[in-house]
Amino acid sequence: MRLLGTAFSLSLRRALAYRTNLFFDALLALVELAASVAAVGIVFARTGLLAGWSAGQMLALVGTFAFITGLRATFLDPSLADLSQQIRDGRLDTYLLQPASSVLLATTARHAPLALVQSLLGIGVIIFGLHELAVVPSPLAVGGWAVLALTGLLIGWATSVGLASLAFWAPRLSLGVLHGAAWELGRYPVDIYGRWLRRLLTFAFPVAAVTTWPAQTLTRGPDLSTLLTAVLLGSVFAAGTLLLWRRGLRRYTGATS
Amino acid sequence: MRRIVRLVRLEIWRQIIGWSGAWWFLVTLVIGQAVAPLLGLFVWLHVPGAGAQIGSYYLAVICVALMTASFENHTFAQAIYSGEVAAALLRPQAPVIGPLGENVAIRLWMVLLGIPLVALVAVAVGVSFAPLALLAALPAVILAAALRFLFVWTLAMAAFWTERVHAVVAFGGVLILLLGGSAAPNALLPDPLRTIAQLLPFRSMLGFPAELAVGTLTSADMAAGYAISMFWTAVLGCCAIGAWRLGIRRYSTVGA
Repeated sequence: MRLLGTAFSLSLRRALAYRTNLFFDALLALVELAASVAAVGIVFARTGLLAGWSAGQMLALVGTFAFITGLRATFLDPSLADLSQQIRDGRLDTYLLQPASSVLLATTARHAPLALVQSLLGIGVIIFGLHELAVVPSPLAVGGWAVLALTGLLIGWATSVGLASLAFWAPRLSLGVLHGAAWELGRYPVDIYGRWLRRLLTFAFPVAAVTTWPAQTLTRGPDLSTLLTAVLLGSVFAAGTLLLWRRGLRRYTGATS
Repeated sequence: MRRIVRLVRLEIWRQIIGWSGAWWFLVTLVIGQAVAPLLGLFVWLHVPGAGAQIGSYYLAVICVALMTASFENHTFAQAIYSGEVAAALLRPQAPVIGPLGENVAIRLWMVLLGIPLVALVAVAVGVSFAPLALLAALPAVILAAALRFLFVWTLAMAAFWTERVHAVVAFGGVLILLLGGSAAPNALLPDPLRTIAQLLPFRSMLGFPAELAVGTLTSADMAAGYAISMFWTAVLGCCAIGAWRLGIRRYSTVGA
């Protein structure tokens, strides 16, 4: 945690030196979120319910998606963006030589603090959605949402690192765009997808745990089985990724060998 | 003119060969382009009154998206940042030939690699197209391809001024998503958003060719759509030339 804190502090100081970039990032986050909210508005101008979700519940989901995506963009994406490339060209050596967990250093050392704007705006949309629903969530529901959101972030980390780790075996494989595309499916509840795709998005690439379940918990109340399933999924994915990383490292020959 | 066409053809061929080694990455680009229309399809299939043609419409949108995809913020803008544009400036040919050739080559690969996905969606949603409607959509697809290239290329030239080119192009992408016909078909947009979307260029880049392919437009709507597409192609062409002339004056590279 101390390492993470120091890395974030350094990134924040670096980012604040470029005020124009802050403006650009904040504006883009605002426009993207406004477009998501507008898309929800367009759909609900034609219908009262979307696969059992009301407009307010959808806004809570859109806000949750923005919140988690913002955290991902802040703490994970800067390191994960070129992880496959680092494995390929041997830059991973730098992390292997340092006295800390190589997977944590390689995947969380660089940060983009300005992307937190997206998370803050996401919280605003969640509050707006709850206001539309005229619902004040219980402390248990908020706690459940926070646990699920963090589990979603863990799943996002695990799936990204897992896909990037495949570069240990297939150096030319670059699946970052694919992961980004699959992540986009979290913009809507998994209930809109067909049966097989829904199962796939619950267990194989658990987008359901990233946005649908947290939004459900916040707007319909906590459900212990959902919470446990999400935590279990998060743990399994994280453990699988760590295993994959360790096996991959055994194959890694570095830049100079 | 014949020399320019030959140069473009050569550049496209060179880029096709160059990109042939990255077929797996191109597959991920195909999925990346298709995901937004697929989301739209899944959403509108749950909305009563969206129309029986919604599946065909979104399949057409996926095809148009693959045929018009533009990545100049990654290709051309990176060449500006790295200084590689300097090499293009020394060649005795129009500087647009390089980005245009790469753009067309990537699109050709994407269309080829996107065939299984298109077939899968077609089977899953049960689509139907009239041959005449497809024929009427063909010029609109060509205009959409030109428009999207000019739009993204112009935005990518922001790299002459700022390092935040991805944010600039992403902003354009949001407009295409919302007003272009991906988030919702133009006919399902509430007024006055529908009228605004009809007048702006984004529908011409994606939704208009798809609407023509499905055959949901009247002759008057078709004529108006084509007129708007041609107007915006001319406007964005002028914008691209203007941005290039202004940008190249600012440009300096190693040793310049």
